[in-house]
Amino acid sequence: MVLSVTEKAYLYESLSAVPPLRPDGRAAHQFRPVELFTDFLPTSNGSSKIVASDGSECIVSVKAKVVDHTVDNEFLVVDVDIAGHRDDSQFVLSIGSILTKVLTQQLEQRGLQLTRKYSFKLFIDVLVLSSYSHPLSLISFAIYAALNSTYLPKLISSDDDLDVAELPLFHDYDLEKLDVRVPLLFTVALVGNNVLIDPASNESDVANNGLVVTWSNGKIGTPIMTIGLNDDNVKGFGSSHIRTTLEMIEKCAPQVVKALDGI
Amino acid sequence: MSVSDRRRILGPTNARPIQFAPLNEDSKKIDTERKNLNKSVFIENGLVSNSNGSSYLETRDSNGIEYPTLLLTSVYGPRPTRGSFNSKASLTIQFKEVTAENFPTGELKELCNFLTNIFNAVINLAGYPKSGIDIFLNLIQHEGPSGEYSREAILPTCINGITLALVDAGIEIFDMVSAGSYNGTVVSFTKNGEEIVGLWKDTGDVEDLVETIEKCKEQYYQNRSTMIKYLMQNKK
Repeated sequence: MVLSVTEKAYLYESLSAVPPLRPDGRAAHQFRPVELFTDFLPTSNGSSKIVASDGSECIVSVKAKVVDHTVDNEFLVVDVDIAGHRDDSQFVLSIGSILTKVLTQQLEQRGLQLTRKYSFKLFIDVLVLSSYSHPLSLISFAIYAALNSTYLPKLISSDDDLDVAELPLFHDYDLEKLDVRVPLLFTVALVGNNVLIDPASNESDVANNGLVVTWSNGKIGTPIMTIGLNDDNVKGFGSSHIRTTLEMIEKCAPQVVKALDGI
Repeated sequence: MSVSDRRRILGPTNARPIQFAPLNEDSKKIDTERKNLNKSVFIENGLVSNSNGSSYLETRDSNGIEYPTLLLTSVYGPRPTRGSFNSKASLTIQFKEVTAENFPTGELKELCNFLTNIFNAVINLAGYPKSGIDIFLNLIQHEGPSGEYSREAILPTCINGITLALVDAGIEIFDMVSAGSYNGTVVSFTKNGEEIVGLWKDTGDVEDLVETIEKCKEQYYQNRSTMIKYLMQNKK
């Protein structure tokens, strides 16, 4: 959204007021409503579609492949595609890099291991159909839902293939639910002295800075990093902002997890 | 090279600003290698002659066992941009490994994105309408603490390098920005450590984040004073 200088100044003043006045009437710790659908792509092992209230939309598909992990120890590939951005742009590649980093750090490879030699390799394909604000937290919600609705073929051959060199054999129909603890990423905007969760596009335009915080295993994890929400309004922030952000995420994240698990 | 005013009609394209010979030749002979508590750094500005400003940094542990991190930064601009009118300069930062490619492209782009966000906050972009500032980082050599490659280890050097190159180019910055790292966390400060402009924490515990930030701040003070000392000794 293109805002004029005056509109930006007005919005900045209202967002940095105490308490902040957000254009859509939300409280500082309140998310926009999202719609989430899972398991709708018949050809993938797990899938999800998330639609935010501003029309941002993201589809995630999870596919699995059996690989020899003694040869290929990369167990996860995240591919991000964002409509309106080139695949090799800094924006798309850095979102892909953050997601790869957080998922390889927090997911356990052991959960994907089939035998001593073979394991599943997950291909997570993210397609952002339309995005108006920074899509990172929306993508992370979609990945969470997709991985938690992923079913993988059930192994019926022996899980110890050290002596006999045989390929793993799977059941024809039975599937097993993938058991993983998926991390979530939250973006917050720092405006004045306020910290606003899930910034909308107009809020991102006037934000002084942004932070990405990871939530994994019921507590705040890493990475935590600053992220640019716009190019022309960036300023520094104090360590009190970080403290407020962490407190806010600690309060909100369990509720988000509960909501996502309820699907 | 001084920054020209792009909003006026200038002289011929090959015109150069008048430069006077440095008054004191001895000032250049001062040893530029300084010791920090655990890091030593070698700084040399203005090595890339066709850029508007450049800096060359060698950072190594004071025991000298490890290979140093060598980074060459060059700044081009502010130069006029084509197309639509922009009231503020646009900043691009590109990172290249010159000798060996150790980092995946995505990780480097993420690094550039992070650095761009820091310097968007630090450069007086409103002072350069209709222009673009391009910064190129060339990593000549780097090896992490135990032979592995980590972005955390080179980040403070990158930030210091860009700051020095911007100073060399005469581009207005609000403050000398620098960074400190502690246990894989990199925090970049301005305004005498009162404001944080960049926070990068990839691994480790979050419980002691406030303490870590304080530790980074101590290193920031050191790095910044080293840079200021160098600039004061080598001022023309």
